[in-house]
This record gives sequence, structure tokens and C-alpha cells, in this order.
Amino acid sequence: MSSSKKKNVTPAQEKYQTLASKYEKKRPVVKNCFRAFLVGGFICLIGQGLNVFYYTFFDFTQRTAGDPTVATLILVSVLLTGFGVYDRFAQFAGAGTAVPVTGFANSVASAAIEHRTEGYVLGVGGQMFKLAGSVIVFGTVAAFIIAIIKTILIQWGGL
Amino acid sequence: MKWLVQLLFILCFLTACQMAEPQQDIKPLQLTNKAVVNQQQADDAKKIVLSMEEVIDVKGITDENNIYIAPRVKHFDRFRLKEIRKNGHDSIKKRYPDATIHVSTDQKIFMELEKLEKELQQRTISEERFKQRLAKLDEMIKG
Repeated sequence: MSSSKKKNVTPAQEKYQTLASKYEKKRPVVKNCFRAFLVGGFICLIGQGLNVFYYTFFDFTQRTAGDPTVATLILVSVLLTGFGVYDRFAQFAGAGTAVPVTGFANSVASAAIEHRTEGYVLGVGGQMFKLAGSVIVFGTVAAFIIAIIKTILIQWGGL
Repeated sequence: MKWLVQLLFILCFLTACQMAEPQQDIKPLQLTNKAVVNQQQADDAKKIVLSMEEVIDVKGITDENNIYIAPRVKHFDRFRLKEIRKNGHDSIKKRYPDATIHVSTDQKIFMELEKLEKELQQRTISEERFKQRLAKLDEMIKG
């Protein structure tokens, strides 16, 4: 609850809220973290496996094998989103499925599927980045800030 | 009780990684007299690189004036790969100042050099094919 809402409550409302909070189901934070850790780690393990597979059996180096690995993970997660499997995973694992690149692909694909009845241009094209847009914006801003810090430290700080 | 089981489970997960690997005495493959192309420089370079504390294994090949070396670095030292590559390069350069030295910590390069070493040792590769493979390897290192 926001602090502004809390200020305007009457004593009766406050009494009710304290009573209700007693019966409110507590959020299992530790359990959620543990699940996110396991599932997120499992996705990373699959990614690492794919990476090793690509540089062992194809003409990729360890560095360039990252590109087909990410492409494969995105393709698989988009397919799983289409079949409705990924959402089940996400319900179980929470951030474990949202933080890796598969979560980003899922957010783009699910928005595209959801809005396909509104047409391809204004529906799919326009609404596709409704969820993923924030990730792109904050990713770009964070990269910009980190790049500035790095430039300052390396070029001016002499690190 | 349930939380205790969960805590133990987490502890088992975290402490499993702390097992120290037994130290093995690794000797680099010496190809000097057996190979199709003389490998004296590579054999020396391998010894130099393997003497570094962070390196646990090394593969290497030489052709004319090019030395290709791929060290395998200890897991926790992988944070300093750039520095390790530079140190390795510099110490080989001291021994062979005129040679062109390529030091790569890429696992693919390590695997390719391992294959080439074996083929050279068993003499199952022609000189022409060896040059072709090295050109491809050069491309991979640069790419």
C-alpha cells in the first residue's frame, strides 16, 4: 500500500487493516527466491550446454558461440510461449524465468499473440513491445550510464 | 522442520563446489622429433606457459615463425584471462623475440590445437593440410 493512502485512513479503517493483515496470506519470499534460483540456474545450464555444443560440433569459437546459443534459447522460449507451456513455468519460478533472455522473448511473444486480433500493424507491431519496451529502455539507459562510468574511470582515472 | 531441510539442501548445494581438485603433475605433449613440421618452438613455449601458476594444461603448435598456444586456466583465475594471456605472450616473446605469438584462452582453440597435436604426433596429417588448418585457426583466433 502506498504511503499517501495510509495517511488518509480513518481509525476504523486502520483497525480493519491491522485485523486483515493478520489473516492475509504471507508472501513466501524465501521459497520464491529458491525456486527462481533453481529454475533460472537450470535455464543458464541449458544455455551453457548449448554453448558447449555449438563450439564443439560447429565452426564457432567460445566467443562466437554465444550468438547461436541466444538465438536457440529465444526460439525455444517463443515456441514454448506459443504452446502455453512457458507461462506454467513462469507461474512456478517467477523471476527465474523472467530474468534470462528467455523471459524477454516470452514477454515479446506473449504480447504479440495477445494482440494479433487487432491486426498485424497496430495489433502485433504496435503492442509487441508493450511489456518488453521497459526492459529495452532501462537496458539502454543502464548501458549508457555504465559506459560513462567506465569511460571516466579508464580515460580520466587512468585505470 | 521444513525450513531446516531447505537450509540443509541449500548448504549442500553451496558447499559442493568447495571440493579441492587433487593436483596432478601435467606434462605437455612434446612433439619435437616426431612431428611432420618441427615443433621445437611450440614445445619450449608450452613449458614456459605451463610454469605459470594459473595454468593447468597447455596445447601448442608452431609453423615457421608462428607460435599458437592455448593454455587452460584454473577456474577461479578465469577472471584475469586478459592478464594471463599477456603474461604468457610476454614470457614466450622473451624466449623467441622474432616469432609471432598467438595466445588464446578460448576452449575451441584448445580443442583444435589438441587435435592438431595428435595428428602431428601420429603423422596422419600432410604439411599442406597442416598449413590449411593453421590458416583456419588463425581466422578463428582473430574472429
